[in-house]
Amino acid sequence: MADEIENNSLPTRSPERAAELAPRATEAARALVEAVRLVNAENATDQDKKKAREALKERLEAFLGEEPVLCLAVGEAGLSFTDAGGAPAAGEDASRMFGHGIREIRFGCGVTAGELEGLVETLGLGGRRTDVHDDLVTLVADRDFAHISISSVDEYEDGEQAQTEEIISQGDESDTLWEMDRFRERLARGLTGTLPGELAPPVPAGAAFGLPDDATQLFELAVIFLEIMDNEKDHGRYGRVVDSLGKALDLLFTMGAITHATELVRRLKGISFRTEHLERLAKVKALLGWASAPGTIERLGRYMSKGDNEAEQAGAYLKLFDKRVLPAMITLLETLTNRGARLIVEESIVVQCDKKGAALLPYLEHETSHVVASVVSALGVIDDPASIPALGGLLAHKDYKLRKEALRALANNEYGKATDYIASAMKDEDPGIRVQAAKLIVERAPSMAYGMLVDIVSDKKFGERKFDEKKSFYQLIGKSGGQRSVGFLSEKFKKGGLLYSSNREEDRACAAYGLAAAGGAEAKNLLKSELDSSSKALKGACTEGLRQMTGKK
Amino acid sequence: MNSKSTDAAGAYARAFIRVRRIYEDAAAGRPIESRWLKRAVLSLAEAAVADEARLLRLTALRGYGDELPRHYTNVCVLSLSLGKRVGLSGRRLLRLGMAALLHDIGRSGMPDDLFIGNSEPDDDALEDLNTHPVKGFDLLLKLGGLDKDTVPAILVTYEHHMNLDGTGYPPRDKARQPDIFSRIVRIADNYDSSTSTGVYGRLALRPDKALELMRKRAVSYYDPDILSVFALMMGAYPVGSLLLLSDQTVGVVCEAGGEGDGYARPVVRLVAKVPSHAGEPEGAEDGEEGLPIGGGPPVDLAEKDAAGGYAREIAGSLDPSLCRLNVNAALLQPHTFTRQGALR
Repeated sequence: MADEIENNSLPTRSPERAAELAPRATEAARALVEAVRLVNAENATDQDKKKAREALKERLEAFLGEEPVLCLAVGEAGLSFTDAGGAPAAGEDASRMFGHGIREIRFGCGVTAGELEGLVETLGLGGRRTDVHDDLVTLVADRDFAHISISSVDEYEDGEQAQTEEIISQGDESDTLWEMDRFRERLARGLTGTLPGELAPPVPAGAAFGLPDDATQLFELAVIFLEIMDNEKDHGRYGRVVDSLGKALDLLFTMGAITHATELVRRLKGISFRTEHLERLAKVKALLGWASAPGTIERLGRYMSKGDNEAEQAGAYLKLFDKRVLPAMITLLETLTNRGARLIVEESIVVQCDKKGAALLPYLEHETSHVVASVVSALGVIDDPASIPALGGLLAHKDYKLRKEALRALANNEYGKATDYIASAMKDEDPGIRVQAAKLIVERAPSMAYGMLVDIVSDKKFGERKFDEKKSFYQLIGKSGGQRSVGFLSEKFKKGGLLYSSNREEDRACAAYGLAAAGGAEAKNLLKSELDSSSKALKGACTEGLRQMTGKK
Repeated sequence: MNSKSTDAAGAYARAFIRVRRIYEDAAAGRPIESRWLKRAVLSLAEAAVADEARLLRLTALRGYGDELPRHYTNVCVLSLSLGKRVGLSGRRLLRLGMAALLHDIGRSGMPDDLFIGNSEPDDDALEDLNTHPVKGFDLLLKLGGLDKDTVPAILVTYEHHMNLDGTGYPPRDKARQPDIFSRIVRIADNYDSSTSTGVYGRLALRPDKALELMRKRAVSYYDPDILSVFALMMGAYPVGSLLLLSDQTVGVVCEAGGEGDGYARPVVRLVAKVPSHAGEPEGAEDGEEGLPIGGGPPVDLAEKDAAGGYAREIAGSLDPSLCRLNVNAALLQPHTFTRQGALR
């Protein structure tokens, strides 16, 4: 809030200036009353409410553009400008503000749309919500607005005023006499009092205090619940404390304090391991059951959708549980649209499965493609040999993305059986997958790869493939075969070679790339021999190949 | 929140009346109706901004009976003033104030003479007494329920007798420190109890002595940083202290605290002149003891004379309960003086 408001040092205005400002202030007062009225109006749409708030902001800005603060007096008749008379902005809501003890509302420069929305919503609460037990003064105070403040009166309740005088009076009349005798006695005995203590004046605390927010305090309280659970002898009280802990956990979710909730559940799991009393254990397990229930995980999903940080926090929470929550996790995957959040769910699933993929396999049949993709991805990280056939089977799936994901998952798998499936993917209908599979095979089993690649390249129809794919395959032949491949490649490269295809100059260029990958003097000489080729593609490939070979040194 | 029209005394009295009723309700097992208590705390918080000096003087009134509601109210006022300096927002101050008022709710239902009396409680009684944080904790959970409004009160009720070094009660995991609200209320509670006669059967300590003892225990009992803020807020001679001055006058501290000179040189109202020898007070025969009931005008002991020295030095601090001067009357004098910056 502006210093002027806090210090009660509002600028004084001349009557002329006040009269000049009055119309704008009155407009703002009316806009406020109207915006509050619409909060509870049954026939008002969200659009109407938004327009009313925008109108309020506009009116306030019209005033605050020239003055630092607008003060609206709240009277029985309605809201009016404090510096000038005029017809107040009246209405049921204005009367309610007065009835609840609000006497003035102040707006400072810089008031935000969010603050106005909060104020309007809060002032409207008293008229609609039957579950709100606080009055408007308390509710507004609870909002901690930076640019809005109110003044209020706290009316006496029945009989309070009469008691006040008694409480604040100066006490028994006899005490008002100065009874100096004992004092003089003390003086006579030399007891004149005590000199200031030896302690030096305190040093002001330099560092800012770590001020906890609502969620941190709730977490601190929940930790006390856990402490009590560890030491409580009375079973009845133990049960009540567990119930309170459940409420605390629920509140933490409502507040979006997932990091605190995570720590709490982690500690609760610790308690479950060391609880021997069956009835108590049942209580703790019931709470843990709530913590991992589908409804709770669904709430977590809504939180994850808010952003990357939120998703990260939720991920830490989800990792506390085991594969029993998988159905809820799959539902979560169905609802999440954010790829980053889905990745975090996948990571959590990996932890929950604890290196065993079997529980996930049924979900490979899921009807939603992105869910299956996530499951496949998780299976890849889990690296369980039992899931290889299922992943291999997916390489025949009609969905290109799933085949690609399955290939990636198999690539993560270190077991030999996965290599066979990967090799089969070199015959996929998609060139990207074929090349990827070929690269993987070269990495995993270079000696086996060479022969397979030569077979593929030697197929009559291979020449019909696009240049980039052919180039990749030839390079992989050179890479996997090394000097062994130079003979094969040179026959493809040389004009009139055994494997030369006269009508495909670009195949020679691809072979040039293969030779460059194979390396060696012979390959180099072959490439040099075609540096002056009339074929642009071949000349370019030889130049590029030689450059790569030189770089390889 | 702005508070230009707030009357500190009215706010104090309303808080007193309402907290007394809440404790009675709690003792009878009735639900805690916190709405009016919150309004009382809001009024106190507003008064702590608008007229803190007066509010602090009200906390120094002693000897009326009804000591427990007064204690709860005092703890609330001291906590709010301290919380304000620590940097709590208005909303957090509201929560702190509620927690401070309710911190001893576990006492409701226990006989008052367990807490207030002429003799110290025996071991059994002490054991009963020491259960009040846990009883209060259970009571608030049962009657108030758990929501974000009640969390600070439940925390503070449970932790307000815990020391920083892990001692105190109820026992806790030493690695866990009490919440900052609990650490604030711990200081306010201890100060007010120490300076009130009869709490736990003990005689009241002089305000300056109570504060000095607390500072000596700072490292083990209290949060030293918060205690520093409290000590600066209260000054070396807190409000309600009775000072013997170098000119043989006696003054009641009406305004204190701040850094620099102000820390050890408060504002007083002179309430008596001390004869230089035993016998009748000077001027007593003609009824001119020199000063009116409630004291003379405020005197700032930090003021210097023309020669650059202090006009009055502090010769010592006296025990108000032994001198039997009407300290309350001096504290209730209309507010006419505020040392700039002393309490802000």
